[in-house]
Amino acid sequence: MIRYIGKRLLWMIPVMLGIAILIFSIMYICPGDPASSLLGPSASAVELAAKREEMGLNDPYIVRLGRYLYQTFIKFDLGTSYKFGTSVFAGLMERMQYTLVIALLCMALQVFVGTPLGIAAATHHNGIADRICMFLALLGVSIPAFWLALMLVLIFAVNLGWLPTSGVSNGLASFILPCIANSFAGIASQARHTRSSMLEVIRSDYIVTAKAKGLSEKTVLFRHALPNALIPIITIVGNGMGMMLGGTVIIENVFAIPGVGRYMTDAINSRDYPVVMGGVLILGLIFSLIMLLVDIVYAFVDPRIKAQYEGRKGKK
Amino acid sequence: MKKFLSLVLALVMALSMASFASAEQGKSVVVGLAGDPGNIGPFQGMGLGRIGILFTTYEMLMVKDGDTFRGCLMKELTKVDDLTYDVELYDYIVDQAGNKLTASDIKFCFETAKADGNLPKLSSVDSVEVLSDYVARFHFTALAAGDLESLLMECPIVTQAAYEASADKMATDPITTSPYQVVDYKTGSTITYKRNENYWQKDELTVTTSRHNVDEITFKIIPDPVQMVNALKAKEIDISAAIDGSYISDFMGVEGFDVTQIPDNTTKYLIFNFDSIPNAAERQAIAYAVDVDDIIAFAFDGIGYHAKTVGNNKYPDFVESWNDEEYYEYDDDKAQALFAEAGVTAGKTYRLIYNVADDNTRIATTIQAALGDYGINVTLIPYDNALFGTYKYDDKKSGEWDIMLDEGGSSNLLTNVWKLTLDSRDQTYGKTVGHVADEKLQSLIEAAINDNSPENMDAFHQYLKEQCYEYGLVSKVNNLAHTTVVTRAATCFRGQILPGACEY
Repeated sequence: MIRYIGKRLLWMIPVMLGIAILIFSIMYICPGDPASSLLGPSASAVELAAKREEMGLNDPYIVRLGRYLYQTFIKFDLGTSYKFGTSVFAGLMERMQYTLVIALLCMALQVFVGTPLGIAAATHHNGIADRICMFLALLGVSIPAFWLALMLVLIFAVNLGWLPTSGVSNGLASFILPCIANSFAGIASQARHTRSSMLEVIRSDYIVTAKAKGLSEKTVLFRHALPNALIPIITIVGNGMGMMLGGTVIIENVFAIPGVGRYMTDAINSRDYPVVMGGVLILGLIFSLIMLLVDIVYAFVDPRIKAQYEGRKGKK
Repeated sequence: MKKFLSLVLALVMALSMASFASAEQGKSVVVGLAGDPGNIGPFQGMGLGRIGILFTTYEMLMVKDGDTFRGCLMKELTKVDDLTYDVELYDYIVDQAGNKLTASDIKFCFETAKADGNLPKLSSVDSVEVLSDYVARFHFTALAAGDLESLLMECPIVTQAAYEASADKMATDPITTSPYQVVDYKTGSTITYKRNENYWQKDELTVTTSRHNVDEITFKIIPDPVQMVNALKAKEIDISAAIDGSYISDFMGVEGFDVTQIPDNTTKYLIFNFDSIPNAAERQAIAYAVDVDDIIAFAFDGIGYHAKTVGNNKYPDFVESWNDEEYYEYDDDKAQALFAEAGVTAGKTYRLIYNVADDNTRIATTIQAALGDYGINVTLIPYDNALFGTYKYDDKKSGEWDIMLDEGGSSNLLTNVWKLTLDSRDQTYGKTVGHVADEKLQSLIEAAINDNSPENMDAFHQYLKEQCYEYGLVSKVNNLAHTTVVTRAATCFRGQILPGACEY
C-alpha cells in the first residue's frame, strides 16, 4: 500500500510539470494586455509598451517558459501578482481559508442531506418518498446556483434582514446563504447517485439472503447494502471536494467572498499571469492529492481493491 | 429537535443582525466598493478598487479642491524656471507613527514610485533635490499645460522610515499622513480605517480630501453590481458610487435613502477607425444618426448630459461657447443626406467594439438600433478590460473594428482627455487610436497641449468636430446612492467617494 502511494506521489511530478507547461502556453496565446490592467485606463500606448518591456512580456515563448519553470520548480516560487504586487502563494493561502470553509460546509450538506435522501428514495422505490426526493433532486440540478443565490439574498437578506447579503465579516452567518446556494445542486446529484447505487445493491442476491436470514431492515441497509454502494458515492464526494476547492467561482463572486475562485477570475480578467498559473498549479496539486485520497479510501471500503493494490506488490 | 433548530436560528439571526447592522449615525460609515484594491501600498498601479480608497489612505503634495488646486502636504510652490519648481512642505507634518515628514521623504517617494514603474506619469520627473528639511526642488524633463499639477497630485507620500519599517511595502498596513489609519484589512473583503486623533493639519487649512467628519470608515468590497444594490437596500452599506444607473430609481425619493448626483469627469465617446471609415461624410452621418437623448434615457436612466466635445464641460480649459453650438444633435435628414453622399447603402455592416460593462452594452445596443433604422447593421463586439486595451492600442488589430465606444476623463484638463486617444505621440505606431495620421490634427493638438488658450482649444475642437474622427456622446453623472445617515455626499476630483468629507 505504501509503495502504491509512493508511486502515485512520484507520478505527480510529471503531471505537475505537464500542467505548468499547459497553463503557461494557454496564457501565452491568450490575447489581452496585463499592462493595461496594471496601469489603468489613463496610461498611453507608449507607457503601456514600456511597461510590457519591463515585465518581460515581449520576450520569446521559450525564454518566458524557461524562466517560469525555473522559478516554479527549481526555486519553488510561484512569483508575484502583477496586479497586487504580492506573493502568489501567500495570496492563494490567504484566500484558501474561505474556499475551504465553503467547500467543507457544502460537502457536509451534500453528504449528510444528499445521501439520506438517496437512501430514502431507494428504500421507498416508486413510493411517495422516492417521488418527493427525486422531484427535489431534479429541482436541484435544474436551478442555476446564481439565480438561487440571488433569490435567497432577496428573501433572507433584503426582505427579512436575517442574514447578510454578502461578505465574510459576519462569521458563520456569512456562509449560510452561499453554502445553501452552492450545495443545492450537489445535494441533488448526491441523492440521485446514492439512489441508483443503492437500488443496484438492494436487488443483489446477498441482500435477499440477508433479508431471508431474518436480519432487521436497518441492519441489512446499513451493514450490507450501504458499504457496497459506497464506491460511486465516494467518487462523487472526492470529485466534488476537488471542484469546490478549485473555487466556487459564481458563488464567491455573487457573495463577495474573497476565496480562490474570485482571486482566479479577477486574475484571468486582468491577465495576471502569475496568479492564474500559480493558482492552476496549486489546484492541480490539491486535486491530485484528493484523487489519491479517494483511491486510498476505496481500499478501506472495498477489500477487493485493497487486495489489488497489495497484489501488485506481491507480483513484483 | 424543533426547539434546538429554532434556538440555533434565533442565535444566528441575533448574532448576524448585531454585527451587520449599519453603524451608529455620525460615528462610522460603510462604503460599498466595486473593485478590490488588492494591495494598498503607496506605489501600486491605479486600478478601480485602488482609486476608491486612495484619498482615504494617502495624502499627496497637491490636490484639486473643487475647481482650484491646493497644497495638501505642500505649503508653497515656487517656480525657478520652466522645468524647475521648489516645493515647500508644512514643517509640522507627522505620520501616524509619529515620524516627521521632510523633503528627503518626498525625494524617496518620487524616486521609489518612478523605479516601480506603476505610475507612468512620473517619467516626466527628472530628479528631486533636497534643498533643506522642508524644501524639495523638482527638475522635470518636460511640462505641458496642467502637467505640473498632475504630477504633484500623482504620487502618494509616506515617510521613508515608515515605508522601510513595513514588512510588505505597506501592502496591508500603510502608515501615512492621512487623517485615517488602516486598522484592519481583510484581503478582498473589507478595509477598516480609524480616525487618527493626532492628525497633523490644522482644521482651517484642511483640504477636502483630508477632512475627517466620521470616526470609522469601512470599505466593503462587493464586485457584483446586483449585490451592491441589495447591500444598500439592506442598509449593510451606507453609500456607494457603484450603483448601476438602471437601479438608481430604486433609491430616489425612497424613504431612508437619497441619491446625490455629481458630474463625473468621464465622457463616453465614439472613435471611428480611419482605416475602414476614411470618409468624413460617413463618420458625420453616423454621428447625426445616433440620438444621444435615447442613449441617456436607455443607458443612464435619463441621468447624463450631451457631450459637447470629446470630454466633459467641467474642465477649466473647456471653452464656454461650445455649450451653445450645434454638436451632432440627432438629425435624420442630415444623416440620410450624408450617408447618401458617402455612398453608404442599406445592408452595410459596422463592427462596434467596447469594453464590456452594463452601461456600454446599453449604449452599443442603442447605436445598433439607431443605425438599424437606416438599414445599417452593427455587430456588437464586447471585450473584457485587458482585451479591450489590446484592440485599442494594437495597430495590428486595426482590421478588426470600425467603431470603438470608449470613455475617458482627466483629473485636471480637457487636453489630457484628448491626449488619451488623439495625440499620435502617445501611440506606438504614430497615429491616433482611430488610426488617423493627420498632420494638421497633430499640430493643433500639440498647440493646445502646450498652451491651452481658448484660441488653441477652439481651433483643435472645431477641426476635430469637422473631421469627426471622434465625437463625444454623453458626459456621465456620478450617482452616489446612500442612506439618510449620509446627509451630504462628497467626492474627490477623480469622482470617488470621500467618506471623511461626507456630512452625517
